[in-house]
Amino acid sequence: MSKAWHPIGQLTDIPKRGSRCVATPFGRIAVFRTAEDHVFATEDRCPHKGGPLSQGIVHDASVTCPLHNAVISLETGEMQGPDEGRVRTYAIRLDPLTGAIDLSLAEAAADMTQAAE
Amino acid sequence: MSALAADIPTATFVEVTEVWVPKDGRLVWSSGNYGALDDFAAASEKQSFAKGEGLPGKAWEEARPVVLKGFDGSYFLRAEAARKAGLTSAVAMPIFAGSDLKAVVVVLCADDAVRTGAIEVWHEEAGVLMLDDGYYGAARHFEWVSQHTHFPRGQGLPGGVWAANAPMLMRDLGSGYRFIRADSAGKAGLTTGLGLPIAVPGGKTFVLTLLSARGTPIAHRFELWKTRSAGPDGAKEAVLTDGICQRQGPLWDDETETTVAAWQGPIGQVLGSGIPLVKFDSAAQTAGYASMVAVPIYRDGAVAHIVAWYY
Ligand code: FES
Repeated sequence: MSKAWHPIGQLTDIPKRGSRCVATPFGRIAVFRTAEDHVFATEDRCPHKGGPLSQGIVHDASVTCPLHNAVISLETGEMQGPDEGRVRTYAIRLDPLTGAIDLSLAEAAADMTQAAE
Repeated sequence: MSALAADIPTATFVEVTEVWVPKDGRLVWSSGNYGALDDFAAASEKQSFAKGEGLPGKAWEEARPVVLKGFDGSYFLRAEAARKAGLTSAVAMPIFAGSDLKAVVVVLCADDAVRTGAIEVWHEEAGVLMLDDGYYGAARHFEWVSQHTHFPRGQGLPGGVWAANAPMLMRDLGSGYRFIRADSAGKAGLTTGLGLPIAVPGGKTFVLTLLSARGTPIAHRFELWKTRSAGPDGAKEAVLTDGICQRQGPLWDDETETTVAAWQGPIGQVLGSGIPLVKFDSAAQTAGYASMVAVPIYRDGAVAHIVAWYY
């Protein structure tokens, strides 16, 4: 399945080590910006008890959930430490020249189709 | 998970945990784990305390958790036995159901240059939680930070427990801003934080926190249970709502509920009796660990939660 990229804004729209949310048909997606200006997108729902990850703090390529401090890798979506669990991650790209950010929902859509079949 | 299990260190921050219960106007020994400290165990089991006497009696009389650092010349009755056992500090946590004292839980720690962790008592003053006192072992910088931090309702682990009036388990203490002291906690190696609301008569707010460090953990497994009524006869059961286990991974599967009925296993015993429990040397009941402590958390005179830690 080819990725359809959706423009969602500019890097500068997101605070450094922070995030912004995008509403999609697949639920709220949190778009994170790290201290090194890498961007990541995950569902905005902690695998533990559903805490809003977009309100967490970003450190390295991880986010700490604001509710009970679980640390989640933004690259893999996996919870760190003895807890096990993962959030869905989404493909995202940053144009280094213009700072434009595009998000792809292709994986989510593919999963949805699979689930429907 | 076997690699993790192999990593589990044996030194613990807390040396002794004991439960005292009121009987005929005095506090008498109910259960306890003294590790290898046989003489201190023998001295303790035959001890009893009047209201206001010794550390448990003080927690009863003052109706508040009490931290005691240094026993010599203090009101601590077993000072000589404690000194011989190398114990230097203690924290007493009274368990009240409304205005009735149900028990006092006492934990005792030994001091050295490496043992790190924290047991803290926070109290409400002028709308924020201030540190009453705490025992930190070698985590001196963290102690200093704690003494200079206060928590508005809802903020940090103590403020979160205050706002929810429920126990709370925090993961990686060193990594977030919700745990306001994260930077220093990370440097001290503190990993897991358990916060407990301590109900006392008169409605004052106290929060007790147990902060566990990687090298000298307070526990390897933590569980939070919530009580609810089960069936028309008013029977109660407890449902596991959250937990962390170094061997077993997550204990918070929302799809399959884990419940226990009153008097079923150690958690059920705490639910049925309303009295804290210390158990050891019965691996089946202590989730494969050597020892466990389970404490009822009262709200409006009834057990609302049970917290347990295993080590
Ligand atoms: S909801 Fe995220 S750590 Fe609990």
